[in-house]
Amino acid sequence: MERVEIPKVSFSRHRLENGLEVLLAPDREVPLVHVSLHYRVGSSCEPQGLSGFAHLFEHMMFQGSENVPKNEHGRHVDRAGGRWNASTNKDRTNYFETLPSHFLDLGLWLEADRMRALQVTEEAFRNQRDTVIEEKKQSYDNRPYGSSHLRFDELAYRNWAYAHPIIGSEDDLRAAGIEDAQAFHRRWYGPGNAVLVLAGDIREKQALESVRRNFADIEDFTDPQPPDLSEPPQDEEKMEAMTDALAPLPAISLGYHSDPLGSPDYYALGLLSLILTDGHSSRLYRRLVHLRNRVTTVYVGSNQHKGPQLLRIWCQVQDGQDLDTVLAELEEELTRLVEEGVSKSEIEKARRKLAARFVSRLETRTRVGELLAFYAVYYDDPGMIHRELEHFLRVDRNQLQETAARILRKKNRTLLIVQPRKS
Amino acid sequence: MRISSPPPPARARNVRYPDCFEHRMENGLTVLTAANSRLPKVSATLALPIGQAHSPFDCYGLTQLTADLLREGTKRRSSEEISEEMDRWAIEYESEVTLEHTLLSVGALDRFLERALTLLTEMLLEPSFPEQELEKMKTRWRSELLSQRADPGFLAGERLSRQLFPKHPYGRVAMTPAELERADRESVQTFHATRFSPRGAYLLFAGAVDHSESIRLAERCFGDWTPPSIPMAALPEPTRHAAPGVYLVDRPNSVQTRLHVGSRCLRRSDPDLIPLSVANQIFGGGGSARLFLNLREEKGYTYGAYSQLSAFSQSGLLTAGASIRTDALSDSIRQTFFEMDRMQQEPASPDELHRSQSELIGAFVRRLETPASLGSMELVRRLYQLPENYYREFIPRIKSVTLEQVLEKAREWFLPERFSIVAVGDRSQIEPFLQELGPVRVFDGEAFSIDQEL
Repeated sequence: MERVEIPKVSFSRHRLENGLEVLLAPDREVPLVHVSLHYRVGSSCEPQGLSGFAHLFEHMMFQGSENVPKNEHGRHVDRAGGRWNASTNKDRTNYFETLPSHFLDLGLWLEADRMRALQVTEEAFRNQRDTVIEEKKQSYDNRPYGSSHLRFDELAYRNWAYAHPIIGSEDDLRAAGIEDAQAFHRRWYGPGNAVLVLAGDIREKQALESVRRNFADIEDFTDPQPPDLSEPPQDEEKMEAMTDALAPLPAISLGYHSDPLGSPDYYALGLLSLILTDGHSSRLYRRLVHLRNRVTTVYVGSNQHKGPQLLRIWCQVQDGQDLDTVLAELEEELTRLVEEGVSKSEIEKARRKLAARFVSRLETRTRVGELLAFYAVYYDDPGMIHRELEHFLRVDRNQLQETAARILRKKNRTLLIVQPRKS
Repeated sequence: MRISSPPPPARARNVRYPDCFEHRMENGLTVLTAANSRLPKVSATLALPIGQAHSPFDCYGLTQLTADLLREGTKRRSSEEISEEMDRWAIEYESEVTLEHTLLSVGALDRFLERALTLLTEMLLEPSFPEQELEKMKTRWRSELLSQRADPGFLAGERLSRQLFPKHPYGRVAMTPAELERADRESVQTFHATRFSPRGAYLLFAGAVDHSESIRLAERCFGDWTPPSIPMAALPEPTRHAAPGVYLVDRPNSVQTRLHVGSRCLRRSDPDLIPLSVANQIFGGGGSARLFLNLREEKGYTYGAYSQLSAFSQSGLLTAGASIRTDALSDSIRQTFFEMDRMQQEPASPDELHRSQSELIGAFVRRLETPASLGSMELVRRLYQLPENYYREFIPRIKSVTLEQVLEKAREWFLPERFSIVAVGDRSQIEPFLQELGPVRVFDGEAFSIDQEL
């Protein structure tokens, strides 16, 4: 493949005495700055009985801190013409503002205030619990296949850390109280367990001074013992069928256990996913969608967890097609991959696509900031933003075939079949 | 150091609106270039002033079907060969058909631009519409129609559009299975031959390319494209007005209710859209707006409640909606209208006005960040025939909106009695709540019953 020069992201890495990791990525082309704080806490850190709490807690961070009353966080950012949001996954929680750059100090002040101390009332806590229960319905319970998405990890993982859903169970959410929030904040939300990224229109020296001014005096009380994520090897296929009253058509969900993010398996499976389903000339798309109309859509990809991952395959069966035939053809394609490997041109296509995407992902400052934070949190190495592509490009055809043979075994897989309820 | 009040902003940098170059070709096609070489990538988007609403009335969806079939075969290449060419050179192809426009775009690393554009040209000018691929696509669409009807947001939007724009293309949202059956190769071919024209179309290059190169490529690829002889008729203005009503779409087994309220509103070119968009921002434009604060932050009925303005060439829509706890349906409707009344009775505070203006300006400035998003604004401006300085003067125009104008627009548009109400959920649970409001018209989620009503 021709060499693709990926533009370099210039950044520097600092650490305050209280442990806060700071990444500065100046790029002054447009007057915007992305401020993002990633805390190393996600749903995998929740104790049993408190499923969904890391995400519920994310909502609390907008409910008031020492100098910023309930809902004022968003108002401050809105007044500045910025955008704000947060998200929780299994491994981390992030909070961000993309601001006109002259409001950098405001963004830092807001984040420092809620890192230092939360002031959430009982009423606000109950209000957000109700909101999150409605979020669960909107995103899962009232959506076709939503409940199967929640069920899948429970079926595939034996370790509770990754098995239970990020959104949690309604019972656990109702059982949670405001005292849990204070304890959670103290344990996980301090400078020693966080990465702060500023990307965009900043002057490095001034920006670092502003970071110090706002964060340096925050004491670190965190006690972030990372959860045990280890997953015992699976030696029997797991299989389940469920009925989904909201689903219009049957669907097949598959998962294969594989090694964590950044492992050789991860890179090999990344290429393999592209070869299987990216683009209309990919193997599964061509056969199952284009040529035979067996499925409406087919997706393959890793679930992007820091710890033990699953290579996921999901497809929706076309109206009038037989689910067993779809599954058999899907298996046939995976077997062909294991037995024959991939062609030179297939791996070339996948490499070229990756190179193009590694360019595209640098388009906005928001994205650059989030990528740096991601590499800092998941790899403890923000420099991976420049090096990760090499890991993908180094995978060769032999390694691909060897990985496919080791991972795509029936005993290593979880199969969940979703059937619509016939009326 | 603890600082108890928010730090003031530093001095603001000027926002520079980037240049977008324009060149008109002899056949009527306009070439646009939003150049930016920060990254070695570029996209080319062909934008046509035809959309779903331009489909024949008895075959809604024909525009989309025609656009989707372009990649399924040309006079030189089969569907498989086209896909192979795209994937081989990492060309990202997208076709998007909106209510009034069609956008076909290819994106690639800059060194593959000419290949990508050559492929786009071939698909656009020399499609072969293979019978076999059409049949396969129709099968896919049949499943797609089923999937759409499983989505409560789709059902609510569809019902509202039908009520607000009866017998008008804006009232159509999805094809019916019967229409899909009727669509054949001839109708697709005819639609392509008569409606796909360089006249009124745009070719936007965004990214690492300069304007002279854009022109060279455009002339080479599209210079011979001749417009069809049939002139394009503009869409009619929607005239028929349906009285506002209460509508229930039954979606059995729902565990939540999707609520939409809506009324007809301004067309895209109406200058009042600027003050109205500020009023809308105050009402329901985001997480600090009145609707969100009421339904979510105070009541906890929903994960999010928002209002929005959609504006087309001949008319527009003002809608508000949320996915809500079913037993809170009555109060959610009451609160939504309460907030509308409040918009008319209580003037917005200076802080609300300032904040809403800042939100709209901030969103605009963020769209200047990438050449692709800048280019798409420039396309929208031209496709809707907005004034040349529309975006260059966007910031001062938003800033000039006053509290009085907000109140005036609220009194004109936030009138609860003008709004239709649509609730999508389990009929047995929600019908009693809706009956409190007046006569309820009930629909099921299947295409055929909606058909009969047309």
